[in-house]
Amino acid sequence: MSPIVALTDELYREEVARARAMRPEDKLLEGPRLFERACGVMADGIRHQHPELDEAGVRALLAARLARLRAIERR
Amino acid sequence: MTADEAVVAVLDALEAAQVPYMIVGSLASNFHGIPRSTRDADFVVEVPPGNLEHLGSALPPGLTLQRQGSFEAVTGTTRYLIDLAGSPFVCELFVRSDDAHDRERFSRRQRVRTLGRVAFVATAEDMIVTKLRWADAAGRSKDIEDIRNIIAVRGSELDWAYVQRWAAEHGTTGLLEQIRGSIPPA
Repeated sequence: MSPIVALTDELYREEVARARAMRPEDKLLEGPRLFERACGVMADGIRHQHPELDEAGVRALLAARLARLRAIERR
Repeated sequence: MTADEAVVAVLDALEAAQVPYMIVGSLASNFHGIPRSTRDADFVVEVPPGNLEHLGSALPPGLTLQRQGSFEAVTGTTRYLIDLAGSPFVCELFVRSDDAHDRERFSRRQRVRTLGRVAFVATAEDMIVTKLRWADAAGRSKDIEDIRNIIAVRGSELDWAYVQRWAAEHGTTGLLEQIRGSIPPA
């Protein structure tokens, strides 16, 4: 087995072990929480890229980028 | 209201409106497998078409049920959206279809104690069966990853005879075996 495969397998086993250690109810709500955190970081990126935008403009551009990502996922 | 608070509020509204439901989609995958980010919360509801009006009034301010349902081509069901004000996060309600597996998975939904309340969640086996179908039809990599994660986390606890019966019915046995083969041994 290549060292890269061995490493990715070991990382995956650790990920599985962490998930097994979590309470199911924490796992249930982790998805929306992670999404909000990701949106916060995306919005920070937009503000950095477009300092001229107000908050409504940031939200609109964020929504457009998310829509583009969704369209790509559905292809 | 945050996205996770919205999920809890929708659960409470479904209970208050006495709408039979189960949590499906990535929320249920997270429940059974490895959590990942998700931009929507999916529920299957069992109601006659157009009979969700009373749910709207059970929702707290900040959550709005779109009155007009839309036909969802991939699932073959009617879909209703609940918008969270000021957020791209959305809750989606899919009306249970007459598809044989859709009926059976709803009848097998698990009653679980979670988030300080009783909630209904699709079983791990039914999440695998459904996502195999989606992965086979639409080829979405995240469905394959969700299946892999549920199998890796739940492993030998799963009712494999049930999963294999539906996979054979849906023609997804090959994909199931391919995914199982990709999981590193413990």
